[in-house]
Amino acid sequence: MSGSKRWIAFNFDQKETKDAPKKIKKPVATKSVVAVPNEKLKSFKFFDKIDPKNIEDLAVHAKKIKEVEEWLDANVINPTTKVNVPMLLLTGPTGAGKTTVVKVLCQCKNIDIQEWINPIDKDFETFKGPGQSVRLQEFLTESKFPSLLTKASTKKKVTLIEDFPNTLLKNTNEFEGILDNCLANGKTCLIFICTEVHNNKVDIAKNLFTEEIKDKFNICNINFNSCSVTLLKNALNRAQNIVKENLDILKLPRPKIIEAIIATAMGDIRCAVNQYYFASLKGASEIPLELSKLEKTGQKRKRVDKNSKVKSMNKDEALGLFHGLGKVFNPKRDDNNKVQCDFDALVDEFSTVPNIFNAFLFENYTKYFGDINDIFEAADTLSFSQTFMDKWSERHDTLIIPLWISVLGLMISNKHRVSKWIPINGPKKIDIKSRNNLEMRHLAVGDQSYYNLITKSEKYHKFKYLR
Amino acid sequence: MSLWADKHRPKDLLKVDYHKEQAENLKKLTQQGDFPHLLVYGPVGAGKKTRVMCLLKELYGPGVERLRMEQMTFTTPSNKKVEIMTVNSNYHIEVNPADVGIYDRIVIMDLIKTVAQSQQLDVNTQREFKVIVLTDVDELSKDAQHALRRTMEKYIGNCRLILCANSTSRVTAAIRSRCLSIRVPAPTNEEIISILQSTCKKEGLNLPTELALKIAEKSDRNLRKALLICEACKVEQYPFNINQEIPLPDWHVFINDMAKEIVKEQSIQKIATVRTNLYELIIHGIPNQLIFKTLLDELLKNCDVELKSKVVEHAAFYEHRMQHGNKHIFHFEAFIARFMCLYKKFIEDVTSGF
Repeated sequence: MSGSKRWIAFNFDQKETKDAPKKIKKPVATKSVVAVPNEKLKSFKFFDKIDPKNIEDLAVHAKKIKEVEEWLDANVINPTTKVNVPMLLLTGPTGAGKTTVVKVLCQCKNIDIQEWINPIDKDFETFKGPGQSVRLQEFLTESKFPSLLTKASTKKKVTLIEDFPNTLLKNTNEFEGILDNCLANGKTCLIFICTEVHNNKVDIAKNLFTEEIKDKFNICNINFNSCSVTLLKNALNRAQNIVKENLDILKLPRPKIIEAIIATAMGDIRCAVNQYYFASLKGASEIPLELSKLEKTGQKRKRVDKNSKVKSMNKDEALGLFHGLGKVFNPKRDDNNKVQCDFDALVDEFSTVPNIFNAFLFENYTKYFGDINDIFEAADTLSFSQTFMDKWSERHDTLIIPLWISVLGLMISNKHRVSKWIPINGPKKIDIKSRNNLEMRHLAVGDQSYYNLITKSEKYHKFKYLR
Repeated sequence: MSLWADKHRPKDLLKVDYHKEQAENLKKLTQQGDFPHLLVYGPVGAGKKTRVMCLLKELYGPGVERLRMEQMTFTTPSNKKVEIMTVNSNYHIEVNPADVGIYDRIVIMDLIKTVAQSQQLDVNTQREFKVIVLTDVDELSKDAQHALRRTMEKYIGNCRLILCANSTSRVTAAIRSRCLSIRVPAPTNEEIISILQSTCKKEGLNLPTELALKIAEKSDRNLRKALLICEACKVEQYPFNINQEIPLPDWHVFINDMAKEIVKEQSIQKIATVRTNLYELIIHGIPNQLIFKTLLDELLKNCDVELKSKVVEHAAFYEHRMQHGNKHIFHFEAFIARFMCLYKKFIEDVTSGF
């Protein structure tokens, strides 16, 4: 069926008339691209309904919620500590529900939230106004502009910072200065929310909130895990109920699609809900699923059928160093002894720099091999790929190809795998010391042992064979 | 305490012990006002540096012999500090850029620039150029060699380069064509024997010709090594005995042990231990070609003719790969794994015949 694969045409008119011709009383604007011909549909806000209103609805582990709740109780509701500005740092992967937990809890506890959002810098160019970080400081210390929306001034307040001015990443000292100022002049407690990222350079949680800063400002850190499958299921069940109430506008997606969504969301609740909403839209064709080639072995009953995936939802999955090494060293083989792996996908998923990864592979591969003939094949491939690594050292984008060769070679040639727990060693650093002796500069390294003999000293290194 | 090899080093082009005609030509070269870039190449211990120093003395007088060590620091574009030791006189500077590994390009570019920008103190009485001596040019990365080529052209006004290399095969054609190439061949055994004997005479010792011949054979026509062996022999035992044992360097013994281990047992654990031992050699700066060649020699002693040819073929293959890369250990290990496989099969075939 080629229909679902093709890009959806811009013209929605035809489809609308086909799928829901009776509901349209009068096409509002035939030329308009927006597929909202129905006024009722216009007013329906799915996300307003799905947004959790009370603690039970949150798709976060109850203990985590409790942790945050206790912190709020101790620092905002009944401040027991004498700290002027208590600070909380929430970290976790995207879609773990960090912001939502704070918002829901504050609503339940009747706490006001004011949030910092990076201002757009257009003023800066024309008026040479203060930079973002300066304005953040102003925002935090001088409550110049009390919010018009605040109902009662006596109400407890927290400040939420999810948006960090980019300049802070470059000069982290500035951030410390801002916090210092806050501690002295600030009034409300601060809640920072940082998303975990794989790229170290833009990792706010690591760069801005170093251990020193956490200690200095007594910042409490609560780390969220990604959403578990059960919680995702519960959340989608809630969505299912909302759809059931509005069957005139939405349709119920098939259970299979829901399973696929859960499998592909990888613990990202936001992604899962969005995808579910797309799936339930009337008039849209069914979400294409990607069936992996693996056939069901039927050994274990899994909670989620992971074989089907939502095509459009595939995230860039990044494998950590150790996870990646493990995948290469322990290749899965089927009954015919063929390696089961999508090599292209695997190599793309590595988040480590190719030459470092290759060095790790080399340092550790022998321990996973059970036969000397396999080792020879693997060593040969590694030596082959290393020649490319050296030649293309200036071109980082092409380094993925030699890495690909190494990975492929190691996985294919490992025919007698040793499976036990094996510690991973780091690659050896080779740092050849240069000669720095004016008198002895003509003495080659190979001749140094003669010097030792002649002078009967041990000035230079003595080689001793280790068995 | 200075070694014989340094103490009796000829200081004048007319006093060198062999290649006298070449020395005369070099002397004539300096008498012209101008002086070309030089590429001096030849095997280890043939006397390249000796000739270069003589040449510099010829150019600038005894002032070049007042040497000092200086540490220079360069900054890479990624703000990494690279430190390198240089040997300077007022007239020349000697560097081995291969010491800093992959940062050799920065050293070459910045060094030549700084040297070329400073003028000689007194232009009237001195030559109007300075000399930069770069050693182990064949160890330079391709990038560094390209950088060298560009800077050579740019600063030809007030500096000249003398490049030292063991072989021209790894020096790019662009550099070779910009230099006057001078080959310094290794001395013959007879030349080594006569030098050993004359040196011993200067030290007031008597060296029997038979022992001198034995030392010369052991030295692989490397004069420096021959002198060192001779001095080591003297320390071991004097007066000399014709049947005296000639000491092997400890790394050589080390590699012999390694070869014995490889032949004794072919297993995965052995590969791992051989690797740690290879690291030991590499980290302490034993040149990779030397390791490879010595190891191969030792391994071949245990092979029959048919196996020998196979092993040599694979050795050549991996050695070639090694020449092209920076991480030599990968190719060493591939060769050793290959050898183990071949040897294991060989032994199995032999024993199954009975």
